[in-house]
Amino acid sequence: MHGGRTKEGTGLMQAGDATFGAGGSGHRPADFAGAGPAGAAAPLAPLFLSVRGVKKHFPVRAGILGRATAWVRAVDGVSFDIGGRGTTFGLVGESGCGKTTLTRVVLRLLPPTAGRVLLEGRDIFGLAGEGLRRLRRDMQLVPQDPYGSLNPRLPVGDIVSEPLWTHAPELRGKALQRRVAELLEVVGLSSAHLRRFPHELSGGQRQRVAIARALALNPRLVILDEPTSALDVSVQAQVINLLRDLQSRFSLTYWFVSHNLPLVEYLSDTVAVMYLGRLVEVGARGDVFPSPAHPYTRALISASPSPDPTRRQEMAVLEGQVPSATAPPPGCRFHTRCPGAESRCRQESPELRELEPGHWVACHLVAARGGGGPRAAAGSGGTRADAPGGPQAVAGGGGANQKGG
Amino acid sequence: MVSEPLLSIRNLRVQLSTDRGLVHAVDLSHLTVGRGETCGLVGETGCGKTMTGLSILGLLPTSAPGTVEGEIWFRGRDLLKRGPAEMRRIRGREISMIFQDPVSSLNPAFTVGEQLARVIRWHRRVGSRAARQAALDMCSLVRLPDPEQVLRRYPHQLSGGMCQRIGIAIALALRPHLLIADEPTTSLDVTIQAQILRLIADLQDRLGTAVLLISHDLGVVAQVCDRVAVMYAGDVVEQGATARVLARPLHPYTQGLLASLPSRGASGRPLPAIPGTVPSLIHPPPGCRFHPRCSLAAPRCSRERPRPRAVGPEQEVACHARGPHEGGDRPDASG
Repeated sequence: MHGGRTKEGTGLMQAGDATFGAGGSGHRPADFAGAGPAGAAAPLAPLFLSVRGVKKHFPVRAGILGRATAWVRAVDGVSFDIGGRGTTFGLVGESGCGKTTLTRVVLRLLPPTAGRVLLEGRDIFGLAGEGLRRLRRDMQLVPQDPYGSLNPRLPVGDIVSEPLWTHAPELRGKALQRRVAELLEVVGLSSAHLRRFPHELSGGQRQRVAIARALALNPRLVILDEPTSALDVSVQAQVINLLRDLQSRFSLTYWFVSHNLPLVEYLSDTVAVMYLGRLVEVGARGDVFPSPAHPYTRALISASPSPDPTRRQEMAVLEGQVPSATAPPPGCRFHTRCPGAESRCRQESPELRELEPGHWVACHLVAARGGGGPRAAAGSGGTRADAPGGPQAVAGGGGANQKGG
Repeated sequence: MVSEPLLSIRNLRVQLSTDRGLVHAVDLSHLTVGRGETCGLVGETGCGKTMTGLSILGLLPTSAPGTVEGEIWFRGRDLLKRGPAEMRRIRGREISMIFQDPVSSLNPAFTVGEQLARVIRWHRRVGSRAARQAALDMCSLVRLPDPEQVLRRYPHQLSGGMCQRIGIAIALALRPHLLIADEPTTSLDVTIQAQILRLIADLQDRLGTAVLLISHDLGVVAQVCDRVAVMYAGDVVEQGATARVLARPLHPYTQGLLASLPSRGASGRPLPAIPGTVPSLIHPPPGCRFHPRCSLAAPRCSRERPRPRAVGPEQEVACHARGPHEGGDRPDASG
C-alpha cells in the first residue's frame, strides 16, 4: 500500500461516500449535497481546496539493510474541504499530531502515502513539469521561525526577489525593483530595508520579509505555519493585523497552523482539530469554540490559560500523554486519555459525523447523544455567511483501504 | 506583603559586557516574593526576567562578564554579599530552579535516576541506598508513573512533560524555600502545560514553597500566580496582586500587552498592537524606558525615570502619567 501513491484516490472516494451514507444523511441539507465527495467530479461551485483520505506514513528503518520495521502514521486518513477563497482555515493540534506533516504533504513538499488533494479542481499529486511549477506559485508558505527561514547571506531585496527570479524571469531591472519595493511597502517595510541583512532586523521585521516573499508570486493559498510563535506578544499583534489586512486586500486564503487556540479562534473561519494523525472535529469557528463537541477539543480549550485573573479555570482535565504514532491505540485514538471512554471506544474507530450543518465530530459518545445533542442551542451557526462552504468534511481511511503497516 | 518577605530585591543592576557593547540587562528598583506565595515575573524576550532569576542564584553567565550591584535579601541575608561556597549551599537547598527546556537541562550522559540521586547525596550526605529511596519518593510526589522504570531512563528516552517532572523532582528534593521556575511550560503542549502547572501548585500547597514563576505568557501567570510583576526593558513597571494588576492594569505597557492578546468575540476587529519594538538594552531610552512606545508620553517621560508608587493597597506602578489617586477603588481607572 505504501508503494502506490496517488492512484488510490478512487478507493478513498468510496470510503468517503460510505461515511456520508452512515453519517446521518438526514442532517445534511440539500445544498450541501453537491459539495460532497461525489461533487468533486461535477461540482456546482468548485471547492477551493478539497483534501480526501490523505495519509503519510514514514518508515522506521532498522538493521544494516535499512528495512522498514515499523511505520509512523503521522497523517492517517484526513479529509476536509475549504469552501471559499478569502477565508482562513485553522488547523489546531499539539506537537506530533501530524499538522505540519499534513501541511507539507498538501504543499507537495512530501510525497503522500495515499489520498488526493484538489486545489481549485487540480489534482495536485498528479501534477508534473509546468503544471507543478504553476502550483508552486499558487501555494506559498510563511514558515514558523523567521530566524532560521531567511538566508543569512542574502540582503532583504534578494530574499524577496528570489521567487520572482525563478517564476517570473521576464521581470527584470527597474520593473523587478519596483515590484520588490512595492512588496516591502505592502508588508509595512520600506526600501530602506532593501540592503539590510536578516540579522539586522528584529523578529517582527523578519516575519514581514517572509510574508513579502510569500506574496511575491500572487499566491492563492498562503500557508502560515505558526507565523507568530517566535514573536513577542506586542509584536505578534502587529503581524496578525498585517495578515488580516493582506487577506482582505488580496482575497488570500489562509491555511493557518497553530497550537495557540485564542489566536486560531481570532483568525479562522473554519477550524479543524487534529489528534494523532486524524481529525477529531471540524467546523465553523462560531460552532467549535463556544461549544466544542469532541472531548479532546474541550480539553484543549479548557487547558488554554485565560489572561483574565477573575476567570480562573479548572485546567488539566486530561491525564497522560499523546501515544506514539508508530503504534496508535486501537479504536478511537483518543480513548487512552478520554475521561468518558467506553468499551466501544477501545474497539471501534469513530468516523467524522455531522452534528449539525457544517460541524463534524469523530466521537462515539457525541454521536450517541443523537440529534443536536448538547449543541441544540447553538442554532444555525454552521451556515454563517462569513464561513462560506465550511468543511463538508468526511473521514477518510475507514475500513476500505486501511491495512496494517 | 504583610510580614517580612522571603525575598526582597532592591536596586538590582546587572550589566553584561558583550562584544556588541555593555548591556544594561537589569535595572530593577524593587521586587518582593512573600513566604509560600506564587509571584509571576512576566515580560517579553530580553526584558531581563531570566537575568533577574539567575542573579538571585548567583548564576550569571561567565561568557559575558559583568557587574551586579544592589541588594538581594533572602531570609535575612544579602545574597550578593555571600561567597561562592555559601552560595553553593544555598542553591538547591534553599533556592532551586527549573528551566525552560526540560530535556536539555538534564545531563544526557546519565540516567535521570542518577541525576536525581546525586543532588540528594551531595546535599544531604546520605548513602546511595537512602538517596535512591528518596529519589523514588520524589518520583511519586511528582506523580511519575512507574518510577522504578523511569529512573533507569536517559533524558532522551522520556517525553518533555516527564523530563519536566524530573526537573521539578530535582528542584524540590531538598525542600527549598523558594523555587525559581523559568518558563517551565513554554516548550510543552497545552494539555501537558496544564498538568505541570497543577503539579507545581499542588506541591507548593503541600511543601509551602514560594515560587517565582518567570513567564512571557500572561495566561499562565493569570491562572496560577498570587502576585505579578510586569517587567519591561530591565525594570518592573507594575506589580501587585494578580487580580488587580491583570484585571485593572494601570501602566500603559501592561494595558497594551493585555489588549494585544486576541480575546473571544474580537474576531472582526484589528488587535490593538503596541507600536514599535522592544528597545536595545545596549542603548536604553533615557527617562521612562517605555516612553518611545507610549501613547501617554509627555516631555517629562523622556527626561525623568519614574519611580514605583503605591496606588491602592495591592498595586504599585512606575509611571508619571499615573498618580496615587488612581487605582484606589475606582474600577474605571484602567481607562
